[in-house]
Amino acid sequence: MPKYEIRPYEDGDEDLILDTFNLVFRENDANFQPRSFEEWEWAHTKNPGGVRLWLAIWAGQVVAQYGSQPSRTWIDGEERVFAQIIDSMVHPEHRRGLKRPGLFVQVAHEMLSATCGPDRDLVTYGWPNPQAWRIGKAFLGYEMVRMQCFLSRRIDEGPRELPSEVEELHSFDQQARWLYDRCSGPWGASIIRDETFLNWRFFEHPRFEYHALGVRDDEGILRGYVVVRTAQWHLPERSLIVMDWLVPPDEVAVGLSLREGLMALGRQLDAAVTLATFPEWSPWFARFQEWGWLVYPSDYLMSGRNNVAKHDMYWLRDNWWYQLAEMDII
Amino acid sequence: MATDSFGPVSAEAQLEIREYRDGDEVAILEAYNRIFSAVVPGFRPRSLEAWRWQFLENPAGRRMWLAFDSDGRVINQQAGVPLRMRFDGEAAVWTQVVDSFSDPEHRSGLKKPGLFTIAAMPFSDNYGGPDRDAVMYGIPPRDAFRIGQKFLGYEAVRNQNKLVLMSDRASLGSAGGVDVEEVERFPESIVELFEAAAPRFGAATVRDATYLNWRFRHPEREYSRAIARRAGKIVGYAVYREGEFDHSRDGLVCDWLTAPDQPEAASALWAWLAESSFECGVERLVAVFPETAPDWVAFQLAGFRAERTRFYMVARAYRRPYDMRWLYRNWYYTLGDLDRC
Repeated sequence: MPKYEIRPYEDGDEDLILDTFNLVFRENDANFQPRSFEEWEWAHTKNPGGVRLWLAIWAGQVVAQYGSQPSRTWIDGEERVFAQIIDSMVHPEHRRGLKRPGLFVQVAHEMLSATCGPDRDLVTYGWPNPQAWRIGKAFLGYEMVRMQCFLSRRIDEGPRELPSEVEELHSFDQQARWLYDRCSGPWGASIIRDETFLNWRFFEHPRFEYHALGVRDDEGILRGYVVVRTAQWHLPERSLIVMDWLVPPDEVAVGLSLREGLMALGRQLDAAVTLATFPEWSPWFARFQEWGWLVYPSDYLMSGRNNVAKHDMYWLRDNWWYQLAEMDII
Repeated sequence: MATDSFGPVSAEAQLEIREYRDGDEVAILEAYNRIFSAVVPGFRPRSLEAWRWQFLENPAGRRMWLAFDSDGRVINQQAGVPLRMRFDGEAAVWTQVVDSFSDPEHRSGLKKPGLFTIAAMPFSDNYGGPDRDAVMYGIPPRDAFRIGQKFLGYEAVRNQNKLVLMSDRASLGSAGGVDVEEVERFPESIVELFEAAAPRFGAATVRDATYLNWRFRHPEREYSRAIARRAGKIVGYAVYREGEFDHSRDGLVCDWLTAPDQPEAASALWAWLAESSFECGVERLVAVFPETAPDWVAFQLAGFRAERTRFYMVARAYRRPYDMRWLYRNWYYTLGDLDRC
């Protein structure tokens, strides 16, 4: 094995990272669109949760990378960090087989041992492809939280105008955190939905266009929101994808208004179906089924790696609230 | 992989570790009933008759390794229920791991393989393999999964969900032209239904009369069986009983199979299930399918709703290239493929 320099990201590495990224991720994706500097910057250095990138350098090239996207997370009554593993790669000329995984595992170990632990990033998670899952399972402690099911419903004929009580939001303010605090009490763990996270995640994204709908009460206080985008993803048809849904479960009327709002928006945006996901324990998982959404399987696997025994996969499955906002590729 | 008891044995213990032999059942049952009665609230001791049904009368054979202490007491067991499978178009045997236990008097920590694996390792080595039992599976308790993952190659196939129909929610379609008849035994011709349905599944238990008439004629559990026929030809069947699954007492759809493109067969059998359960005061009807099975969506369209269970479906595949993703996508099973029904 050549002698690699393995180290955290430093200012100025961006171009080298992007060169390798656009080479690697083009390999198996006929529709691959090269990542721009702005997208890279958004995903990493502009992430309000911080930067976690470890690189292997050889002969002036980035030949491997293992990284995560950390997010402030409320868990067991305190603020900690959950980090989504993203953008892991090895240059094709520096790969080895599963039995001798070599560089990928080496870089991953460096990153995970430097950033994870009971007093550091508490949980890493991600949506690995089959190859990354095999290696992660064998060498990096990846385990299955769940095979991800999606709720889906066709968008039938109906009004194209938003209900009068539903408004389009163009940014989030401090009320998002108030709403999050009203919702998150029963959740064991969840990434904190506040204006910093939400505006970065959705409104500052350099490529994807997201739409946010909100419902306010008579005093102008935000009672619930939904963030969506359209894409042909997972299903063959153009879909309205629910990226984030935040409504107190007992405020069914707010949920109903947002449901009607997202269906109207779907019609405006020529989407054929809607797609959403909720933890199975969420009242919204049951409520959406009552509203006609059916539960379908997918090949997406939510993988986790815990650093405190209590937060094992059973615990994460049964206590961690997440949405598609927690998936970087969509 | 149902175990609640595990741990390493003290170094001084003299153990005999071996496969089951005729006559061991008395010692096994004594240990099983003693150990589980101490940890399972409301535990009902297992009878010798029920034990014989599960382990000696299974037409697919028996799978059992035991560890005995110097007094001849069973202190650890790893047992399984083998099933004849259609696996990627070929005949194969898979084993559901059940009734694994170890004596609490001989336990210690989890770090070493310990007592739990004393019988489990030879069990796996002797029965599992590409040309032997190709897959072992189960829905173990949390601690057993952790140990199995660490020492025995267990992996999660999926978080196991279930489908639940409330009595006021059924939305049954027309059963036009399909008649349902309750039967005491399944006829030999039931295998034709399986052969018609099997191409849809990458892997499934061979649902023939031999299997069905063993599986659903339990000495202590009362099952109801119904066959759906169109013009005399079998187009589906269902098995029902009231029982406990996932800490809830409900009407259980213990087994289910319908011919492809016969939606009326499903409607007719749902009506029979509704009659068997709701009209007898049961409030919920529960079924288990993989989300990847066609029945998963069909049941939702009939009014069932998806809910979580506390289980992961767990397996170990001994034959390449079959892995958990393949099992997730291709394996058809119902509650009847689990010993909890």
